[in-house]
Amino acid sequence: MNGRRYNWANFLRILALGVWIVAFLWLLAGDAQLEHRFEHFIDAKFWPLPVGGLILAILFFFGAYTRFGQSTSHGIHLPERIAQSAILLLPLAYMVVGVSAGGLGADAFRTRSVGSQTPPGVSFRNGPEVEYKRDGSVNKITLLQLLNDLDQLDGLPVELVGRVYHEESLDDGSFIAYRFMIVCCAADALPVGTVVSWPEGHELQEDQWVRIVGRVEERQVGDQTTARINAIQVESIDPPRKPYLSPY
Amino acid sequence: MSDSATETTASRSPSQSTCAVHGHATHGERTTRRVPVWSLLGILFAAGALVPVLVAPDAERTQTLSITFTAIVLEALPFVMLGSLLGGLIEVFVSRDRIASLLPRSQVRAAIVAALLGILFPVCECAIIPVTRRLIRKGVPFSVAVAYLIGGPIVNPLVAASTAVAYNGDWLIPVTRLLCGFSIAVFIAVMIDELFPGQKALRPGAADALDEHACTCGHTHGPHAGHDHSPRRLHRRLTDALEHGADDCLQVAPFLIIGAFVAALSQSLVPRETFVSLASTPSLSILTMMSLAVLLNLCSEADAFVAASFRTTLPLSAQMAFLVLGPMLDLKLIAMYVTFVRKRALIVMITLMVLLVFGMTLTLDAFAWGRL
Repeated sequence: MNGRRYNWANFLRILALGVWIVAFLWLLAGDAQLEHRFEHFIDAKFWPLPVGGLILAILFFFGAYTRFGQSTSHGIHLPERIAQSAILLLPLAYMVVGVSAGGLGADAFRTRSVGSQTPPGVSFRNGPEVEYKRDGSVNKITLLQLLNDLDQLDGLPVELVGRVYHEESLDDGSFIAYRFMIVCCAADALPVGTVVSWPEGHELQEDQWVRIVGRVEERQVGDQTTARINAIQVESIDPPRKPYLSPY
Repeated sequence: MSDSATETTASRSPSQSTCAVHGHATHGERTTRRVPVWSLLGILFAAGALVPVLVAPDAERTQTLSITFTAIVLEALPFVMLGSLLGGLIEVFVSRDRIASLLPRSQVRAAIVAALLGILFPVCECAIIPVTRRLIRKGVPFSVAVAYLIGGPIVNPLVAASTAVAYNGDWLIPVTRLLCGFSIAVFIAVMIDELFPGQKALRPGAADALDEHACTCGHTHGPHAGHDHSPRRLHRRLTDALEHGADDCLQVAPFLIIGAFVAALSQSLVPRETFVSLASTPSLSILTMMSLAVLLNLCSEADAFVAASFRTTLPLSAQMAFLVLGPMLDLKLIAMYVTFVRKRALIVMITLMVLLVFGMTLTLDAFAWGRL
């Protein structure tokens, strides 16, 4: 009885490690939207995390496998291993749902926003200064650039990509175009967004990805300076290859 | 899970002990005496946590929870694995005598050195925990380990750089953060040494490697590990290290996952606006941001960006409280501390962390940063 119990306990240890190896391989593979599935959760430049996780899981699997037939784990009881394994495998179910979700959406925008009237403004100036075109041609920018360089972009025509969020206080058809900025992973994702004036805004579906062309207007709301895009064109698009913005 | 189960065991004779590496009972302890209550709770937790993905996988809230939970696990798990591997290598290749010879004789000096180790080994809190567990088993005093545990994730060049970037190159912020983290780490280490001398703060079994015969797993990793009495080949020792690493990882990772799930749940359910509305005075702002740091479970190398997003709504002292407390205390860390620290000692540690961070940042608010 003891022998059988020990074997099952060891088997579960190897099984948990084996399943995580498969999970890391699955995350490193691509899907219809992204080059690597792990980019649904962490920034692409943090690829060493899943790669390192895979290598370490393989090493641990090897270490556990070579001891499979030896008495290295006696005393570890089957219920404990079942509990360990069940908890270890729990994130995998959420991983599958997370990949199919296609990125953080309006629900996370609502929960993580700070500030009632306007979208949350963040400002991280980390790159070289960008020279924007002032000859009337459209500047292709990100929402993060809009918030960082609002003083330079005021009055200029721009094109940017975001998701649609309908806020109750915006009753003139305007909507908020938002995205998330992540430093490392979706847990630290911060919403960045701007109000877009567009008469047919209410016809847009919440969370729909849109490309917006319009003119930037700098506005003072209370003691905060915020941006507004007076749109001349809003079109629905497929999700971009990089759903999250990065401050680096 | 096994550590907890071990503690629930009914009366144990002095000859019975707990495996230093695997945390399981050894020396003939009869398996029928163990009450697997923690195992049952673990299984129930896993089953309960599955409910949202089984019942409403397409609900917006479930999707937010899924992405946040998976992101925390994917960010932290590789570091726990790396720390476990380092711990396994330390177990097999570094002797107790060697570690003892490297540590300064004075406890305070040892704590200062340990709190500064993050400068040489800049890893985050998740990787530090498995290494610390193994160092303790190698005879490193708990108080010294605490200094590394608390100071390491803050006194760290990567953390300083990311904090500076988040605050637009204002070096006053990372320098203040590092100084606060360093002084709190050393202070708590000294206090723990006073209140729980030796290894009294450790759970039963957590330091059993001090006893050469504590583990019967067949490896040589007692006090003389590193200079075995029986000659062994390198590949055999590497395999031993990998096996120790695998077991450490499988012991710590479930606690990480439990903490990550609770954190993701709180991130998905509690609007951040709620925290801001609570913060009407400096002291309330600080307490609010401290609560947020415990709930969000962010990596110390990324949390500065979240803190900086509160620049327009909360005072700098409150942001600093978030930056200093987060790397030493959050839900996943508490869950992992439980694997090797006694309940009483853990309560003292947490109380000291909270009081020191609160006192320090309130002082900053009163004398320096009040209106920043």
